[in-house]
Amino acid sequence: MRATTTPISPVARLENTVYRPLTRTSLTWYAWSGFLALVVVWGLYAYSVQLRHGLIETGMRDVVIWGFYITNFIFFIGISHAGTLISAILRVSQAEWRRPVTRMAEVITVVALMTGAIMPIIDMGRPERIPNLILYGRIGSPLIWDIVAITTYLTGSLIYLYLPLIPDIALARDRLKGTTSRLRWKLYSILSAGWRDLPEQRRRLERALGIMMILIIPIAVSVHTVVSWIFGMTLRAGWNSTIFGPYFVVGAIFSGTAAIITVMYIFRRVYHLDEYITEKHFRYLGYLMLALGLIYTYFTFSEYLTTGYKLVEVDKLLLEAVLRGTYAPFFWSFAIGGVIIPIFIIALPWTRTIPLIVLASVLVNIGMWLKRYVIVVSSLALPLMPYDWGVYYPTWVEISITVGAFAGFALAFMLFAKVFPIISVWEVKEGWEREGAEGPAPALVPGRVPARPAIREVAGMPVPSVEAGAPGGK
Amino acid sequence: MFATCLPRKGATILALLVFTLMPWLAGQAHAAPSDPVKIRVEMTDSGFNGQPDFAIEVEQGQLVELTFVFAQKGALSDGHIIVLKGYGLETPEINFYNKEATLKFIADKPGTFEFACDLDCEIHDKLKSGHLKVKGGGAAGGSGVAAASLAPTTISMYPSAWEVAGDPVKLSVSLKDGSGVAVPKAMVRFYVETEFAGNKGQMEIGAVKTDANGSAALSYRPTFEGGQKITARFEGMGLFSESEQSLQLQVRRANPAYTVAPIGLEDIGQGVPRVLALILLGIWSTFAYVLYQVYRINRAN
Repeated sequence: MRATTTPISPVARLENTVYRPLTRTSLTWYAWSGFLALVVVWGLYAYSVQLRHGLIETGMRDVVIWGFYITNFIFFIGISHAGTLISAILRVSQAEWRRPVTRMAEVITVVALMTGAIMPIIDMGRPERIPNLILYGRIGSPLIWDIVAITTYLTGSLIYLYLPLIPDIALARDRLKGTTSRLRWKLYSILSAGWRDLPEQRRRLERALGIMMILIIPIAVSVHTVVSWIFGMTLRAGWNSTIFGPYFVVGAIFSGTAAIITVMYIFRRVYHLDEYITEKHFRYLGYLMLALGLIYTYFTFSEYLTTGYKLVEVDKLLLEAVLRGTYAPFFWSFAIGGVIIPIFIIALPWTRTIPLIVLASVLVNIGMWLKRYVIVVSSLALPLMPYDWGVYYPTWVEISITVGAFAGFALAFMLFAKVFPIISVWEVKEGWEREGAEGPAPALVPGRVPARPAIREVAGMPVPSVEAGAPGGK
Repeated sequence: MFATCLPRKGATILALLVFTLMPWLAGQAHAAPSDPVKIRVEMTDSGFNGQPDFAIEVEQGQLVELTFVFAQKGALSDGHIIVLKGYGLETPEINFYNKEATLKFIADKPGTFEFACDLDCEIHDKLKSGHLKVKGGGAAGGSGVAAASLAPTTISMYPSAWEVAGDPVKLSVSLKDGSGVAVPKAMVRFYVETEFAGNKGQMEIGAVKTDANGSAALSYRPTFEGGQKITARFEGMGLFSESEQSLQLQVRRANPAYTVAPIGLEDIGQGVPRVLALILLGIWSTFAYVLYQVYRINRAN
């Protein structure tokens, strides 16, 4: 049979590429989601053990009262900055290249915030006492500030994720009618808010987005500032610092940018988005990560130099433990592996390739997790009275819950991308319109290409032809 | 006549004998057996008597002297307080200098009871699964050992005043056993009924030991006003039965639990939360406005 070629418009190709994963599910997807679900279930089992026996199942004791859970909390809240903040800054600054990556960034925020916010609840040991924090909390406590800030940020991030989703959900509603389950189609109908791309609707959406993209920036900054104040408001060596607010915010955006790069790479590979997420996106985000890495290095240097120069006795003990003692392996892994090496990878033109930028981003996130661990545990282990150093060894329960949280983060991401388009289609199209051309030149694709379903026109709207019995077609 | 008198005489003698022995027979139920079961448990680097999972067995009703001995070769700076759950008993701290401590109690409750170190010691993992098995069956399990039960006690409490207005109130207690004999060196704990974070319960306000006359007193300074139910409780120490007494105090004026020293920035401190609340209100109102735009998008359809 002779292969025929059919010209396909860039818009149709974009829609086809982005919406195809919503209707087709590969065996690999099932395998990965099943594996991640198993890890999450294992984490839940570990949590049930902790609930039954109490925090004695963890390595936390009366001296080192925080460990993996609070480290995870700071880490996830940190990477949550990826999204909303970076997406908002790029929108405000009208960086055109942002369009294909904003959605992923915004999803990172919401999923990371939800994962991170669970951590203090797990850390409390008695989750039924959570309402007491609000009912009997004191306004002077940074923990209350944290609850308020995170709740506000999560609400804002959900709205900020939802607003640009409306036109894309409407497109899903129209494209997938009759080819997807009634429940899912109903979900699209409700969430699309009756979107018909009318001028009045566009005007209102732009107004709402315009407000949110400005409002969300100070909220995001406030969240990690407040997280840092849990430590910064405490008279403890290592925490008693005035620069913790900006230090944490920069660290958060640093690790958040790294998270976007990693997620971008995975979706680019798995969803075949090479045409939309290009080398330029990795390079630009790499530059941003480089700049943030340098600022973070400056803050770290400033923090340790001023402490080391004055050398109050407790600071001396802490610095010895961090730079040469128990915590040195963690600290130097962070400093060299998580900051210096990634900086060099991106700074040097011959290592600034996509795989190496992604490697750098993974190193940054491992390094930043270690840095948070050092911040949390070393200061708590430092004796304030003439006793021995506190010890902390995470137990299998804490490790399992941590691994479960990371698996849950990945699983939530996968499920989101299964239901909603992972690229903001209307924004990409809008970008093309602004450029004055309808995007890249139409490609000639073979009439039957296994990787891309054929396009058929239904009432002027390109709709993918879904093969009967295709997994996920329902 | 002799023949008819003999049974009556015998019955009288038997009645006299029973009457004479009655107090002794009755007292037998409460008296501790003369020979307690003595058990020594060494706390080594690898657990109780060198075992990570260790159990000892006694019979219900036995008087037990359970002695824990510090026998570690490593971590000599360790200290242990062994808690026997279910019996509410704990040793004083056992360490390199105070090498042993004994729990003396009547094993009146059948079942398996855990004992473990309550301190965060170096060998904590090794000292968290000791078990005391008390075999049921009464009368010391029919082993021939004299069974004992907990001697009853009564506690009486008197306040120095029934109404309190700012001053401390002295709560005096007197502890006696079933025969009215004072119980010395007994720990009496005092509780006030209160509510915290939606949970009602008893909060301990102090603990005192009785003197040779079985008397003790606690000075209590109420920190909240209103009617207060005070309870004095003696937990038995493993040899006596529990006893408690409650009374109702009326607190007209309370003393604050603590006072905050002025820092000189109160006016600013009071203003900041209001400003922050206004900012927060502004943010949430903006969220509402944005969601209203979504509603209007739907309506514009």
